[in-house]
Amino acid sequence: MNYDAIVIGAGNGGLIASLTLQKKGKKVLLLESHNTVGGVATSFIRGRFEFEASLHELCGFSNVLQEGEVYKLFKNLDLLDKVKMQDINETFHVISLDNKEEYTMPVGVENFINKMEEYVPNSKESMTSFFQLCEEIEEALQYLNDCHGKVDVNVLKEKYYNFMICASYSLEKVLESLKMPKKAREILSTYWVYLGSPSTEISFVHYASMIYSYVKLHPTISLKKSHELSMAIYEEFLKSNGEAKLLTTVNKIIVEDNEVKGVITSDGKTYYAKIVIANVSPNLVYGKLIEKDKVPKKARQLTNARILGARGICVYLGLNKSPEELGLKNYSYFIYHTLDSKKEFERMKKLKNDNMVGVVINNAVPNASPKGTTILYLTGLLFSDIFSNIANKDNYFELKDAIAQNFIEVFEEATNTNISDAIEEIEVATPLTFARYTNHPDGVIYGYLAKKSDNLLPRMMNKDAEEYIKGLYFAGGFANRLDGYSSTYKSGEMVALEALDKEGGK
Amino acid sequence: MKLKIGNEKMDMLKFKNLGNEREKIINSSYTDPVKYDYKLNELVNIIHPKKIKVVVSKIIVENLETKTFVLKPVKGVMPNFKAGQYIVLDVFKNNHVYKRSYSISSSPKDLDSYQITVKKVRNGIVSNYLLNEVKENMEFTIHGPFGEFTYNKIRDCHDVLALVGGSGITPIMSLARAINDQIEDFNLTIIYGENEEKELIFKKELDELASKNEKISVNYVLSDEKSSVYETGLISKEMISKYEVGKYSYFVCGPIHFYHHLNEIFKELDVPNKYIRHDIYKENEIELHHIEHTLKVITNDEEITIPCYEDEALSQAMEEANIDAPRRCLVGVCGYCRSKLISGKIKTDETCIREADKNYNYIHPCVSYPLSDVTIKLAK
Repeated sequence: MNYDAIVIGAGNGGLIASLTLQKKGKKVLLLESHNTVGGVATSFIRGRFEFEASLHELCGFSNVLQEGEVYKLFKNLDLLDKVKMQDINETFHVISLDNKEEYTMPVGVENFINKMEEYVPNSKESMTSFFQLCEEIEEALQYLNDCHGKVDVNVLKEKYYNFMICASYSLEKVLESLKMPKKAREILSTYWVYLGSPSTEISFVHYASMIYSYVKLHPTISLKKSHELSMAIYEEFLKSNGEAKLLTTVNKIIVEDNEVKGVITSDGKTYYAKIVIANVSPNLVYGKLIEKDKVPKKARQLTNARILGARGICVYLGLNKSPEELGLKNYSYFIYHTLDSKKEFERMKKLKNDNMVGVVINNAVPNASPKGTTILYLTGLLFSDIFSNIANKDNYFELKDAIAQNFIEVFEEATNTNISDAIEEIEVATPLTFARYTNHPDGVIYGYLAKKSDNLLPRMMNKDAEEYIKGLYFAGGFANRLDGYSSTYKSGEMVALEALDKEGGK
Repeated sequence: MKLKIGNEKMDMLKFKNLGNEREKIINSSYTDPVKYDYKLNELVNIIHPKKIKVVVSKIIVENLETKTFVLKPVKGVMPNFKAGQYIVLDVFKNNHVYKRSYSISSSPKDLDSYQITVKKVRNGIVSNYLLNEVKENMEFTIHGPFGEFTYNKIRDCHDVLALVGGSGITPIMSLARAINDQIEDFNLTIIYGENEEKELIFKKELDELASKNEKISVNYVLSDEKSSVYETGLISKEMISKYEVGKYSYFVCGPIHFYHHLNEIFKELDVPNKYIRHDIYKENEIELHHIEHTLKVITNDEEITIPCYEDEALSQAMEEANIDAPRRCLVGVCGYCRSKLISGKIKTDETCIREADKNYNYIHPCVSYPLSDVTIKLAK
């Protein structure tokens, strides 16, 4: 069978890439090994609870203000009326376990600056500069996005001077240069776990664009869990006559003369296309799906040079009391030993590190679970392969229980609540669970570590040069926009448009 | 505002170098083939294998209508499992593939084999085949283990009251054996309801475990037999209310009408949901409205139209017609058979359908019964 494009994996990137291409009149085949779509952007049911599998808060989609890059993307793809979104009225609540500090930050740039001044006197000036810088960065990124690789350096120099300056620096470095007080820098860096790299490593531009979107536009969540988002995209794809096969695994990508030709699936069928978009890891593609001697040297070098990013652990709790009864006032609880991200990053190489993000979904969507109940999920990250070194078939169940027990105890201590007595349902996802569902190497959920030359801008700048096999593209967290819902959605769009561009230009 | 970082001036070169530095790192990296041999991804296949080839190494006659099949893997050992989980057995018969789920009745300590215990079901094609035709050394494929009917020390009380109807004893047997083998640690009281004493399964072993292990106790309740030794009638509110609400987790396992019966009792006793876990199975319904409709099944490759009756789940109709549709738990819980209802009216159970899936008419065919001609689309 012949298609214009084949998309491997119906995660966020794969879904958006499929729909974008289909809407542009291409004949697309979407292949997914599970019986539903979304990858980890889905939900699952235990008892009377439907648990969100992965979404904490969407970035770049303001329901109220009707803007943001994901908002625009959904609008362009006719998805807006198919999803019901809810803006969240806080950015984060952060707790330092060791220093017994807590900070709750609001949405809105003014509010955010003022609240910071309350917590950290004399931070106002630097915070104001920070948000000015954010605005410039947003404009610069928009410019880069709009000029599709044909960047005019003079424009950058004149209009986006500050962007150019901070483009090659870490978050920490730029905040220092703004003479932001240390405490304010630490509080401002709370979201570092979302990008999976400490403030000394994460690109300032990347972090700034994310936090600016949260603070300015509000974080957002879909009323019927992220599964609603995935299903909206998928059903729109089907409605546009896209073809999809679920429960179908790709066993091989056919490459000849350094050009992609098609794929072979687990049921032994061959499908041909000149464009193949892989919403799976390059490790899997180059290590398993393409014959060894057909993987270009540079593709091997690039893949071998990269470091795997965060592995995830998630404890999903269905509680038989309301958030008020439990004393849970906030939506998200970022719990760290200290607010020093570099220190915490190192600590999170150990299995038992106590750091986590807790989300009380009912505090944004009250009917996310039955009346009088609460869904709380606690997510932890691991920045090493420690889990695979410890886990084996004989200790796996015990390990899961021990991890969950510790998460619950630490959360209770940090928030001074009693969760244990209210647990009606519990499920635990480990790196093994994520490895099982995504087939990502070592169960990573954030793709590659965002570090130095593997940060957002270097990936974006070299993306054309790194298309080592003609017609083969990557979408999703391992690709050029890095991890996160908004980034993976955008990666799908970007790669689809690129593939069209290249095809048109031949 | 013009930014200055340290003493550095605006450095265009530095910006451009972001890409060059990356290029340099790639060029100096090693050129070996990319490996995909991650230990954790290999562990996935050990803990959750896609399928397991097994051989029936022994058949134990439990009573007139029940046998235990000891399933040994053709290669290696069985995956670890939690007591209370089930497997899906593929049965090839008359050119049909039947899939049936059976709880594992053996202890999670013994991974040389799994045991499943099968009771005769009236008109049950598969149970009759297993009981009458399957011999030792025959080979089968199984899937799993699956299921959440397991003990969780974080969630459940230290004392568990197992309420068992008929062959619902099988996962509870595994839990009792797990306690005795020190794999699980909780107190288990079993109330085991059956029609007659001769139908009780595992009675000898249960009595033995109860006498030697203080964490396990067992009571029998017979519904169709007068007895001076055992309680008689149905499992009642009085029997359950002896166990203080809030101190016990109730593990209910039995046919669906048994579960409904107990739910009434739980309501009367005001038992919060938190304490109730259940593993139900459907008995083949017989002599219901045998009204015929047609079921059109759309797959990626074809459209097939088959007959389907009002008293027959869509999954069952597809099985009869030899359509290889996904199916697993068969009670609407696991979601594996998730399909889209294109047209027609059905009677179904939506308990385990995701909210967003309801927007697009997704159903679980294993618990969906046609009320008119119906069209569904499978996952592939």
